[in-house]
Amino acid sequence: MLNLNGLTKFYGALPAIRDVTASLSPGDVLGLLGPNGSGKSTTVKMLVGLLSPTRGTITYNGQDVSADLTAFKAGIGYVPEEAHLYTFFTPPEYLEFVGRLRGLDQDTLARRIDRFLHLFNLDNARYQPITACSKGMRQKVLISAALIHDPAIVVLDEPCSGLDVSTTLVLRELIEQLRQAGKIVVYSSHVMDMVEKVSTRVLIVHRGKVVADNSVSALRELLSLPSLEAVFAELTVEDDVKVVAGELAAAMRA
Amino acid sequence: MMKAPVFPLLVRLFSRRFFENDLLAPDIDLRPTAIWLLAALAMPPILWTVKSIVPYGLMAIHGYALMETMSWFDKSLLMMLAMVSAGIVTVLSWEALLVDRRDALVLGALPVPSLPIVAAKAAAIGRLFVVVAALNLPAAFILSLAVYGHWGFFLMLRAIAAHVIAVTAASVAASIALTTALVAVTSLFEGRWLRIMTVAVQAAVLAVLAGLVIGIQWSPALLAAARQGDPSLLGAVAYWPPAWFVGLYQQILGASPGRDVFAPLAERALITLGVATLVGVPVTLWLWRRALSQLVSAAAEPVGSDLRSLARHVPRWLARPARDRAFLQFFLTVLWRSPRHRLALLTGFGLSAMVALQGTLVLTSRATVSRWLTEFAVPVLVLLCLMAFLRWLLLLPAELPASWLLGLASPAPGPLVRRAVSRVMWLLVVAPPTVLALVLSWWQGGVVSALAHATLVAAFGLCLVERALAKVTFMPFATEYMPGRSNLKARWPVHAVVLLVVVPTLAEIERTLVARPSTAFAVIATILLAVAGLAATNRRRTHDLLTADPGLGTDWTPVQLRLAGI
Repeated sequence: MLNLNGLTKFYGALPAIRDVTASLSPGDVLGLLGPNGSGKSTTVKMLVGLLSPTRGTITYNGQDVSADLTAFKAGIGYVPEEAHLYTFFTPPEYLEFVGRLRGLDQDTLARRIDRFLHLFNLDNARYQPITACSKGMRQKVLISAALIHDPAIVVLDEPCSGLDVSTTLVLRELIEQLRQAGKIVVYSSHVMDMVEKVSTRVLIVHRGKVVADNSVSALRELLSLPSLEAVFAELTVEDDVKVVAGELAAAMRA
Repeated sequence: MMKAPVFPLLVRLFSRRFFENDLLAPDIDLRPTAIWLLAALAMPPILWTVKSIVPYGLMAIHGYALMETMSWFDKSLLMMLAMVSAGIVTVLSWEALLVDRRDALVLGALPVPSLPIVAAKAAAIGRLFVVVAALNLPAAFILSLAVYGHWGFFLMLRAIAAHVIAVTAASVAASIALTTALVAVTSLFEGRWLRIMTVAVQAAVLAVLAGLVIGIQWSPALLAAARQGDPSLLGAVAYWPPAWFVGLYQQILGASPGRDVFAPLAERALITLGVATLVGVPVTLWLWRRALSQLVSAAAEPVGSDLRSLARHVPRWLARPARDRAFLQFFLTVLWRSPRHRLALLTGFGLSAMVALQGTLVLTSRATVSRWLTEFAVPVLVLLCLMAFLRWLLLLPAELPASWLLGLASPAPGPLVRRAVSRVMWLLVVAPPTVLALVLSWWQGGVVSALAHATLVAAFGLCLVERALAKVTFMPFATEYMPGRSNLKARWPVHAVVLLVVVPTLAEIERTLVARPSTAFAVIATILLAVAGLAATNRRRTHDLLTADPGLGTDWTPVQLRLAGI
């Protein structure tokens, strides 16, 4: 059981996120939604231990994770929003590096690296440094690095960025299988369609506050709206979309 | 089924970062270049000491005391070279010395505490410093053999030990001090202040390195003070760090001549080393650890208003059409905002300032010591120095992933780019030596002489600019740097000979011309005609710089071809 208890983060005097509370059980897929700057990435970074909350706690199986953050991180797989990688490594070297830091033994690691590279069609990129890889290939390396140690919690921040359609479909099915395997998955994205399909619950944050926390179907019923996109627009979009688009078109000719 | 220990893995990771460079094509291995650089830094002390073997052998008949005294200059020089080498390597490793946002995000998400991470970082950098210090060991053996080999085996061994300890201490102290300064500035300042402080530290580092080199001319004071045993005779050399480590050498050696002078110098060396290791190392470790946690939430660096206004306003009078202004704004902004470009530009200006300052000092003393330091030669030297640096700088990319934007500046940006580059060169290469020529010649010979000389320098500068533009067949700051394509490796002797011949010759010609103003203006008119001819030729080169590459040969690798979009 993973609990976020009143998570709050201030950057100086600026509040990024306030009082985020959620509870996740094995087999839950939490879709994290919000407009740009709403505090999604800050929440994710607190969840994976990259940032410490200004207030609030994260507990995992009843233990405050800050008591032993290193042990908590050992059970997390994280795909960051920005593709930060050591680009002088080749993809297998990078996976080997991450796997070793995660304490995997050499045989298991070699076996898993081969499988991941093959399944993500990265065989041809084995011997080239990551700096020469495309955005999609880098994303596949990041996803492989997040899953290589068979984590109990998988945190995906915009994982489909740069991925082709077939890999996106594979990822969608993979999330479903991770759910069935009893993993906790947190999925942060702007792609409503994907979140709607993979999530068992959705947390919508806006201006640093949680404005909705429920299953997709419950939210649709509650607001009597046909899709998650409509729910999201109802809760977070403050401007008249048509008016703004019209003003932008006019600005092009100003 | 062994689990890999974390610490060696991280040490290897941070060691690999020394050979990482986003300027280069991904398949270029920097390790051979690094070996060449280390070999180049090891050579001067070895050559100097080998050259000293015969003179010391001949000197042996005059006795130990004389040899000991004569060795002080060599020791000063070797300590200076050790500290300068350490400084050069530290400056070149600039980016690898920092904990960056990528480290914070990649390693921070892994189950590794921050302590092993910063310890591994320190170990990787420490290993580099030890390698750099070890470059001085051959010279330590050779000099000790040459000076002390005649006076007993144990004295020679003691001299070797003294040399190794002193030179390692000098090298390591310099490396740690520079690293601490760099890490402190980049960790403690943000935004506009970060940029200002980085420039200040870069300038200070260059000034310190230049000071170490220039300080060798004070070593006679050290020799005089040590011979007479009077520390008050030291003067400025008492503040010259290599002298402190010569003192340490002499104290460890236990040699009696000059003990009263060397003892206080050795104290300064020990204090420097102590402060560097006991303060510098813990502070650096703490700052790295702090960076690991703080860089995760770091916002984009806000920029100040200083150059934003410069980049916007300078082009208004230098380049009127919008697209010309855009390229000029791009070039000026890169030169100011990219730390790498700023450092290289500062180095060019720093070297030029050293030449100008030295020339002015010689002219003030009215001593005719060198035909390189006349009021006519100095501006030409400054001009060539600035041109060489700026020409090289244009090859360094700034933000490669954003280069596609420049390719959209259709039609063919070649002429636009060349126009913008010429404006930058006028500003940064031609204007400073022209002003210098005006000032020096006014001071030395009056208004007419100054105007003639300044015009000559400006005309020569414009000619050089047009010549350089003919070689701009790439998009400056936006193409991958490929050292293998440079012909400098093969042609440097030609450049050196041209420099040796051109500067004094040109200075003499100018001296003659300035004395005859009518001839001078005829020559200026001829140069300007040549400039116009070269400019017309350059204007006819209309090809697109991003796609056309006349230097493209069959030796390109598939990766390079793919990166070049071919």
